[in-house]
Amino acid sequence: MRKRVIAETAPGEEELADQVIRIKANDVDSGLAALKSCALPALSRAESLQRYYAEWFPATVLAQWLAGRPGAEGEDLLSRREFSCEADDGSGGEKRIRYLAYQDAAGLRAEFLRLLPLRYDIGPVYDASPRDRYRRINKLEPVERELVFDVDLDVYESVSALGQSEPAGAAANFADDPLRACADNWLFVEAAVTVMEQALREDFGYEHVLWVFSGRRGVHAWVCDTRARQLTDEARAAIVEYLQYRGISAVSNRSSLSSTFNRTATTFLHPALRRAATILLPFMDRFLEERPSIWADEGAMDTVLGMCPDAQVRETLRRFIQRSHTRESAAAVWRLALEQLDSKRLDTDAAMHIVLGLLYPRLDVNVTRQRNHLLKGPFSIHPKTNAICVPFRADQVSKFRPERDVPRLVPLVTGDAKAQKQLRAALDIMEAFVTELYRADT
Amino acid sequence: MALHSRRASGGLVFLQSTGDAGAANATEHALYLTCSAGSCTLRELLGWGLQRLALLQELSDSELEPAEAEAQIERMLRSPAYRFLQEYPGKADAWSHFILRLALGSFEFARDWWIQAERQLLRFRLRRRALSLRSIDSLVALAEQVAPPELRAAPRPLLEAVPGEKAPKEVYDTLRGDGYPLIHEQLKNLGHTGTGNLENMGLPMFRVPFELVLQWVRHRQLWLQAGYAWVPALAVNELVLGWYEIFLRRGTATAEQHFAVAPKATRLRERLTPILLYLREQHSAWKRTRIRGTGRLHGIDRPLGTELHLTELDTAIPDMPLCMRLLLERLRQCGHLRHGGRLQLGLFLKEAGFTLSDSLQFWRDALRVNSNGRPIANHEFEREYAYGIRYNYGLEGKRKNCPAFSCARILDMRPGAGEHHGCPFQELAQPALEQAVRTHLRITDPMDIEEITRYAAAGQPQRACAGCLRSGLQHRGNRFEEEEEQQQQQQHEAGTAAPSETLTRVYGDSQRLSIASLRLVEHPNEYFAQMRLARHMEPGTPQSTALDGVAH
Repeated sequence: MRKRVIAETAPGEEELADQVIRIKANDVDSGLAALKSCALPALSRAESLQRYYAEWFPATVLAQWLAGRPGAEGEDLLSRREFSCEADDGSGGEKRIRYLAYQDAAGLRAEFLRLLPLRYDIGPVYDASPRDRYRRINKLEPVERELVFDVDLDVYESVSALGQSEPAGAAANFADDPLRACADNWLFVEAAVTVMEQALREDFGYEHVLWVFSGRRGVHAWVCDTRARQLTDEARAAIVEYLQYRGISAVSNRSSLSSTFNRTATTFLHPALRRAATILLPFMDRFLEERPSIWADEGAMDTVLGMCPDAQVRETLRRFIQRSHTRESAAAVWRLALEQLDSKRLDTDAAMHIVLGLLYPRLDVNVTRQRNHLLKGPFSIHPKTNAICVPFRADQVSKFRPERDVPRLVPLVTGDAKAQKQLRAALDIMEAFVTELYRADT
Repeated sequence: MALHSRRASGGLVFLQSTGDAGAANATEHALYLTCSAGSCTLRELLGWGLQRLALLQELSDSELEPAEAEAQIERMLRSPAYRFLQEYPGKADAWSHFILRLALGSFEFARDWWIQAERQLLRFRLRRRALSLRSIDSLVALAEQVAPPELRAAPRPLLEAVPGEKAPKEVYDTLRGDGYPLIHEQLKNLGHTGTGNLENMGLPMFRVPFELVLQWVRHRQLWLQAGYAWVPALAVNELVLGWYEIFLRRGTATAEQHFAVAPKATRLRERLTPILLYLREQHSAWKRTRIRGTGRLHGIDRPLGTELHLTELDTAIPDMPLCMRLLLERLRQCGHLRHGGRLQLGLFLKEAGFTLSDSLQFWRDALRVNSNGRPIANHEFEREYAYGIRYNYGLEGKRKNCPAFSCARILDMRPGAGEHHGCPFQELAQPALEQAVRTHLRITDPMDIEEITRYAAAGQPQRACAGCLRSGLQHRGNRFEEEEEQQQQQQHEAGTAAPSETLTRVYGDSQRLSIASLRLVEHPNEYFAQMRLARHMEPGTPQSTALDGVAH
């Protein structure tokens, strides 16, 4: 058996101490409570995990995915890839073990069966096996990594609360079932996935994007094209910046920066943003339909219109909406208001900033920026919700519903037919993705 | 029509490879991609290096308007000593570049300055058309130097010229919006004011992998199509300058390696090392005088007797840069800092003036718990931490004096989980950064905060930090001016001369000048010294020590 990393931590070498982060038991109380409430009395948590890693965890496909193109030169990437696990430390707390690496799928499965991770993360491919890091003079340098993005619904809170009459109800829901709370806001995820897909494919030319449900309130994207895997940290930062929409203050700022010439950047939306706004318009209708009384709420209207950088457009919209919101549905008012702008020959692009401000993807930049950032891997378990992080197809995102399509650990391993079907569907998606990624002719 | 389009595009003809190997070769030499073999005396080599260094110093030092600075450089180049630089691209010019690459490029304290100065020289030459980029081959050669390896192997060329008529509509939409700054100046030079007619001006375009133009991708200033960015050929100078900078950064590393493994390396080193050291010393000496002359302080010199000691630590904390403020804050809160944090803060304090006993006392008080959260006993402090502190002072182990970390070094040290070193302008997310700037630096002006967070978000942490410094200095400067005015008024009423006049004469203008020209913070101790200097200028603090230092 391979020597465990924590066993190598010698006293006094405190730089090494970050491999084992002990989390106090009460920090994860809520997670454990959720876990326990789901667990059938017949199965302990360890037993559930044992069954999951033995019977369901697709170690072979994952290893194939991370090993790179079969038969390609530069030997196998899997053994230089960092894995990280969060596992029970045997005293009610949790420990995180970093810098794990495996030669093959069997090794991966064997160690997961031994550690029974509550979750696992995938790191970069380093210039040497992370297991050998103390035998080297130089520090490990990340050399390759999928380009990853994280869309988390938590950062949408300010907009998702707009025009919602009872936020308390949502909170109650959340305690009940976190995935259902996520479902209430799935609209934002759908919008984000659609916009990101277009941008990654059309602007950056990437073809292999794996979308994975993050287990609680968001999704991750793994761009696996060779060109994407080899990007430097600097390039990743630039890409995520390109994909960010920072709203009105940034826009007005940019124009004040270039004070040598007096023009507003708002007049000309970048084609990528214009395309995004076009994609987002139908989502805007749905957003408004879900919030029928949004225009009656002064505060919400101020927030929404505040996203528009052009004062004249803003006031025209405000007057029109105040006049007509009692007669028409919220979405219809919006459509009519846009027509109104058009007929008055006002700048409709300024109104597009509202759509972008509400619905444009909000990315966690830190996840993308650095190659050595860890990200929860596909088919990991989310330790708090007990949901499996399953991949889904981007073109099916509007049909995907976390509360319906995501299998949970305990039903899965106790023979629930629905959960098993869900997981099999996810496995098919993963396999198809890997096959496509390494197809001989691409 | 052909004539017209040629005029409009500023005579840029990139549409086909000229096939003129000589021209491409000349450009390669001009960009120092290759060096021709030959021989010269060591004395000549040193002379050329010194002259080039002087020119670069002039170039980066001048606080003149760009046009005036150019005229100045022009004058310098006409003098006989610099004639060799006029033969460009030429052997002597190239060798002066390469000897500086070896001398300054591998010298941590000069590398960034040298790269910027060389970039400025190239910009000057491009503007003066000493180097004209007419052939696409030369651009491709440079692109190949900076492109990541997998792109060099890509089926599509690294740089493709496309006639303007073939560019899609989106390219022009982008150039009218966020991309406008790229072409603004060149359009103006060509006599165009509006952007209405861009499509019909026959502007040639380049198509390059987006990885090669990240500075523009980041700000959405270009239109991207399937991984390739459309760059207007009007921006060719900026394109080349950006690549040149990357190339030099790589070049400094390889130059050092080549030097180490060159045939007859020992002999070579023996003969060249004195020259390299002399050039480095010249640079350091210049930097010292410049710092004195403009009132800029560098921690390494501390010419003004502003040494910091433990007893004054509390009063000095407001003068410290954000990274150190956060480390101190963290240290006070938790009673512990991880290794990286202890190094960054400890070396900073040492550089600022802490003696060994100051440092030992400081850390003994500040470190209350060890990495496991247990209280530190006296013997544990001695065993675990005191050694490291003495080591930093060159009293243990290798016995070398450890310099404080420069910003470049700090930016390189990315903190892991539970660590707090590194540069906050790089590490903190925008809300946290804004919060930190407000609470610790007490910067409240929304314009300032906006600027700071924007630079941080744009990946320019040193500029963001310079924004903080400027804001801090201005704050103090204003207060100083106000009080000075008041004082003068009082004295006027009382009929006496203003004692602060001397002070203004010594510092006043140069101080203001240096604030205006401050673009990057390069060293936390430099930041600290600047703030301390501003404090010394504040009325109500003893000024005599500060004055003595300058007037020596």
